[in-house]
Amino acid sequence: MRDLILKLRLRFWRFYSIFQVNRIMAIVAVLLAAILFGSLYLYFTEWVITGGKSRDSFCSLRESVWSIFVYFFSGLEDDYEPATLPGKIGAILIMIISVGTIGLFTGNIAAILFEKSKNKNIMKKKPPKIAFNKHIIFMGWSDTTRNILLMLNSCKGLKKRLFLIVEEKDDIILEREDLPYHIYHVPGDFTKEDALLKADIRNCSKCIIIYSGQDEYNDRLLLASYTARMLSGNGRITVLLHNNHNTGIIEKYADEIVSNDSLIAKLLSQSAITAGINPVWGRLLDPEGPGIGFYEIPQNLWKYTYRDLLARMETIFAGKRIIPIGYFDTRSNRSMINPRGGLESAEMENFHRLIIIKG
Amino acid sequence: MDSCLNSHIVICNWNDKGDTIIKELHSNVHRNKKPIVIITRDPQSVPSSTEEEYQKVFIISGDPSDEKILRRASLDTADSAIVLSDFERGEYADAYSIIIALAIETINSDVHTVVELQKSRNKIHFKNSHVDEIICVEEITEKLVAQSAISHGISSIYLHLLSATLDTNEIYIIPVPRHFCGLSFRGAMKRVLSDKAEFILIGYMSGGQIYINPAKDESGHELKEGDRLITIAYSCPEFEKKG
Repeated sequence: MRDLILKLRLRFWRFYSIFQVNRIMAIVAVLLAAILFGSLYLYFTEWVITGGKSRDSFCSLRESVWSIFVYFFSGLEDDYEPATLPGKIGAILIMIISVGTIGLFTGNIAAILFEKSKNKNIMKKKPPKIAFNKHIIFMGWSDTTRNILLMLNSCKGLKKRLFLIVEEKDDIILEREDLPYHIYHVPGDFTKEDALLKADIRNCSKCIIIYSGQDEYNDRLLLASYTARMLSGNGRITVLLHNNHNTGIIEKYADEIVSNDSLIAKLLSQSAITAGINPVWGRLLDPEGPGIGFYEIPQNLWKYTYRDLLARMETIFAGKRIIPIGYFDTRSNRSMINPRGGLESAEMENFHRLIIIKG
Repeated sequence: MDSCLNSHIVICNWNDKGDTIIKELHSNVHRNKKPIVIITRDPQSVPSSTEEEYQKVFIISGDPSDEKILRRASLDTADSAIVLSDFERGEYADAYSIIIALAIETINSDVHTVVELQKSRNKIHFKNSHVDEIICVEEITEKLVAQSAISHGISSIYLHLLSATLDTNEIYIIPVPRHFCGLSFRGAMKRVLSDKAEFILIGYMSGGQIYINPAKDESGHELKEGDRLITIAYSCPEFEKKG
């Protein structure tokens, strides 16, 4: 039921956004008003004032409305021609309004149909079944968000994943054409509770906070990570920082922090020492390349030590293209890469994951 | 300035990343701490720290695109040069970095030049500059965030591998040791495991190509002199001379 409500809400936003963009509501309102006032005017000038001596086309309000419809969609015909001068003047005005309004109406319908065919990803494909309780929320929209989304969309494991983007700005709607169909825009300020609740933050699997606006001291990011932490259930929060200001406080609320500054600084210094390391990192970081990942240890291998697993690698991982490089403790979020000093003799448990280089 | 500077690292421009770079380059994990020369128009922005990492760090005040200034930093005998973005140049920061990189390559084309690039669209302009490595801020962070969206907690593993401390592992690229020549990649992996070596072999580089966790057909490739091994280790692996 909850999924259905959220689904309907998202459909409504999409529908509403089309109306907002095309102003079709206003045109329909003008059209209806013109028909109503036009038919009233002609009924009075052609029937009431002349005392019923004019044409039968205006003998009642209902007939008058029908006559105006004919003016609007097929122009002036002999049977519907007003006999009085004020009626004729009124008919001319109605026809002028009809040409403009009908033109706008037709143009807007054409624009909607064109947009539909242009966004073939959104409209033509039958949407797959989406898991609403494992969706990923992006808080903030920028080129970075878009590039990450496109990268993630190319990953096999995330093909059916729902992505929601919480952002105040509307330009995301205009850019939607090159984004896949299971990406939705949730309008609103990502530091505000209501916007995040609209995106069903309580059931998301991950919140990624990206803000590229003016925020020298990361105040907005801090507020966003605090709000997300307070509202999210088990969802993990990742923050992309452009500098190191307030990192210590943000760390309290976020599960992962990716700091532009320290990341690039580390990579620059590694590259200065080891020639050729940058392309290696490029390959490792490529979501479609042989990156680093986690491997769930099968139950029959629990109680084996990490060293044992390495010694039996040939048989345990036969047919699998993986290289173990350490293990990860999900309880403490600690990673032991190339463990030594007794850590390699730790028995593997259900809360351990092998850290591997994927094929 | 020490006129005997040799095999040092020149850092052109200074920004917030500079401090981390100094600390990484002069971390205790490196046996030979290379001297560092910083060229900046704003020497006041460089912290006057008394920390151990800031020993053997020299500052030259001036424009890093100026040939005379680069020569004063003994660029002709330097090992590597890092060009950081000058944020005061705004959207022209990358353009200024290209000018500096060209000046560096003109003075010493053998120096290993690494450039920090802000916008990936400017990568194309470095094509003819002979710059050795370009680190694009946009690309790297986007990839890392994407990775962390796929696997929770993965970014900490990447950051661990990027940090040079005594307690963390780093990626090292080393020449194939003589006793590994003729072995396949899988054979070399078995040898590393049986020797209980303190490093993990994750791939190799051959003929300008990178093979990380190679597929079956690639892992049959016989390692030869000139190839390089990609390893994960606490410090740069060293091999005893064997046969």
